[in-house]
Amino acid sequence: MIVTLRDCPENTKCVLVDSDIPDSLKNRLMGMGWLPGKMIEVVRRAPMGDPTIYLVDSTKIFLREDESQMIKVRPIYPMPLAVAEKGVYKIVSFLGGGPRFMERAKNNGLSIGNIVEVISNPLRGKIIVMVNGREYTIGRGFSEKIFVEAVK
Amino acid sequence: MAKKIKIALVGNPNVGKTALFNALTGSHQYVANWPGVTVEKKTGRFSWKDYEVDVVDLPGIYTLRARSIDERVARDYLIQERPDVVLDVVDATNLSRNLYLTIQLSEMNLKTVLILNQMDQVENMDIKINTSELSKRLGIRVVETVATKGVDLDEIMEAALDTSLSVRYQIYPEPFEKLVKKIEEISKGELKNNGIPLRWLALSFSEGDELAKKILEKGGLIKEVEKAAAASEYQNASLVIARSRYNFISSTLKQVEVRPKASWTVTDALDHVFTHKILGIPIFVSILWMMFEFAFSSSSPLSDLIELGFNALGSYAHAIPGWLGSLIGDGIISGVGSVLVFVPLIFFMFFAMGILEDTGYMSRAAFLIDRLMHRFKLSGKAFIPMILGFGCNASAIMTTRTVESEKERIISILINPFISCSARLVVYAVIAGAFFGKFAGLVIFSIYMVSVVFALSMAVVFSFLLKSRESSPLTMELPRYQLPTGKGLWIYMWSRGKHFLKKAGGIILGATVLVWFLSNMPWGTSAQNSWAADIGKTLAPIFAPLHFGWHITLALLFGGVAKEVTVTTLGTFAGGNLSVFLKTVLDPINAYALMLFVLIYIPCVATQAVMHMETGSYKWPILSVIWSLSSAYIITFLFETVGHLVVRI
Repeated sequence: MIVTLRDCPENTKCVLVDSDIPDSLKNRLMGMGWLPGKMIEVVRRAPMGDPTIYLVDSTKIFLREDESQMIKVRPIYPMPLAVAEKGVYKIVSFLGGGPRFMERAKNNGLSIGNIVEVISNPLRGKIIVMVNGREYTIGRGFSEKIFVEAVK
Repeated sequence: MAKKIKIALVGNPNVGKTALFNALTGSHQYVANWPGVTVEKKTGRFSWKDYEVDVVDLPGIYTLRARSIDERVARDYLIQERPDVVLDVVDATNLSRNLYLTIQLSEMNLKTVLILNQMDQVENMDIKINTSELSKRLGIRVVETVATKGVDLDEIMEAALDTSLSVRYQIYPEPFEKLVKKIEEISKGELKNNGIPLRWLALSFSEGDELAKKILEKGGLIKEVEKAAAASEYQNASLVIARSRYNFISSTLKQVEVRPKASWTVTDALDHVFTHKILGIPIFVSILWMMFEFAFSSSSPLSDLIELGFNALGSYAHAIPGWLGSLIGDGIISGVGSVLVFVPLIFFMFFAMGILEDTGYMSRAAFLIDRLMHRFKLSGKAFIPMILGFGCNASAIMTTRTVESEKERIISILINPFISCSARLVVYAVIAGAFFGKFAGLVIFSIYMVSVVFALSMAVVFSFLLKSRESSPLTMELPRYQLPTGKGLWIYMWSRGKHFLKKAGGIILGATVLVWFLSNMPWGTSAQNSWAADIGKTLAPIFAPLHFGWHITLALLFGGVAKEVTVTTLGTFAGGNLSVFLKTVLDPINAYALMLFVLIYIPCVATQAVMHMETGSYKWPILSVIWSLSSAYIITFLFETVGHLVVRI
């Protein structure tokens, strides 16, 4: 699925597809190696939610929401549930969650190795998933910490 | 006869150009570990064998397409001045990004030597680079250095003078090369004699570069070139160009470089903590606080010692009979001395700031508070001049050149004087020391907080007034953390601190002598009836609502020249003991109000001059003076009124 860079939570790895940013910034980014096809790693969001640090070619730079919204990327596996389109996935890891998160995940039947089906993912707001034949709604913050891989 | 050659240092931001410049010329330019510190070209000179070498250190750039002033400085220099040799300084740990500029340089037909800097880091990170292979593939000479630890001049100069290698990359797809050749062909006749590199012109035009368009327009060629471009399949070739360059780079690096698998580095670990969602900001605030505490507590024994020294000197001076004794004792020693007491404080402050800058923490700080800056309609780039403003506003205003949008740049310039510079620290230190005892550090910290809040709120006001809606987009690089070197810190501390010493010996001394003269004229009268008192008393009614007496009024008047003069002026009236004297003319609330007033009221003369220089008009410095005077008055008045209501003294 093609999403904007802004949609990608921390620890997501994605491939740069295209951008609509102003030419001047685009050129500077190109000078820093941001070309279509390059892999971008989302490293860290700032305490107040913006800007975000990205890693490309062993260079860390940070960009603001305004710009990252205009950059289109394709997340690669394992990706957080937050950017997964409709389909069936296998949970491979949890990243960035504390013990309370782990407990809640377990209670919802979400644990490593389980199969989860994304019913709908609007990229804003809640995600509806199917686990063991039951439907759950998960919040965004929650879905950002669950990393999945596609099941063929 | 010495042969003259001109060498330019070019490279990405923060790769060590200035360090190399220092190593080559033996000068002591200040180097930091964050991008955007060098904003204008610096020139130096050295001789080697029978060569007379001019070196120019250019601001860092990622590409030759320029937007902000500092980038333009670099590009225009390369096009117009045509240096004999370009030393392309690259961060050897990050070749794939840095070589992009190298390719552009060679397209400009500039003779380039590749300087692989930070080779010590390359070793640390276990990267292997085959230098001779790299040189062969790029067709240019390659020299390895660790510029912060000095360089092998012979090696660099021999490479710079070597003319055996030449390059012309054919890295673009065939049909596009045809277009480039065609544009070169078209422009050849008209522009040959201007020395404009045609290949660069053709490529930049294809990238949509404004300057290239302008040059073609001037030559009356734009129509023909546009027609040629329209006939080809490359209307906007910037992506094709960038991709071809990177393909070339990565195929080259595959043969040249072996990198270990990416692993969790020290920088990553530190970043994990320093940019942490919850811990990041508290750590930032406590680091700032530590900086103050460190500067104050470690400098105070030294300051006390200097004060003792000046007191002793003062009593000797009084032994000289007549007016000379009074001039030296009351004027120079007690006046200038009252400022010099704070030399250790200023130097320790710069030392602490130097540590923050050299380690690379500053860009993390910019990252942490960018959101806040954004809310105040400023970008993270405007943050750099603000932080530097804590040192000296005049030099900080020059670094606003990195801000792209013109309006935002004006705003950054206008708010900078509200950032409390080190000169004002002297005033606070005297007042807080006299009135607030062991809470002095806290009181001064609070003034700094006021300073930041006020500057930011003014940013909102100014951006409303100037109708500046958007802050320019921001891309800032996070450099690797580095251990600061003693030499680097020393250069940092000295290059900024010496400014303070120079001022003490120049403008502050001059103003102090003037004040002494005025306070002793007509000859023989007491200070109460002197000309100085007349001036102070004439102006005092203006400040009466603020409860500032004539001494303070006069001090503020002269303090407009340089803020430290506020202290020296009071020092001339104090008769040796400034804090006792201050307690006779101020109560604690007045004292804090005075600190507020000194914080906000008019930028010093040097700052005004830089404002004029940087904006090219008198409008902005005049606006700044009027604006800051009136806001200082209003805020101080409000503070005193409320303060005296709440606290009865």
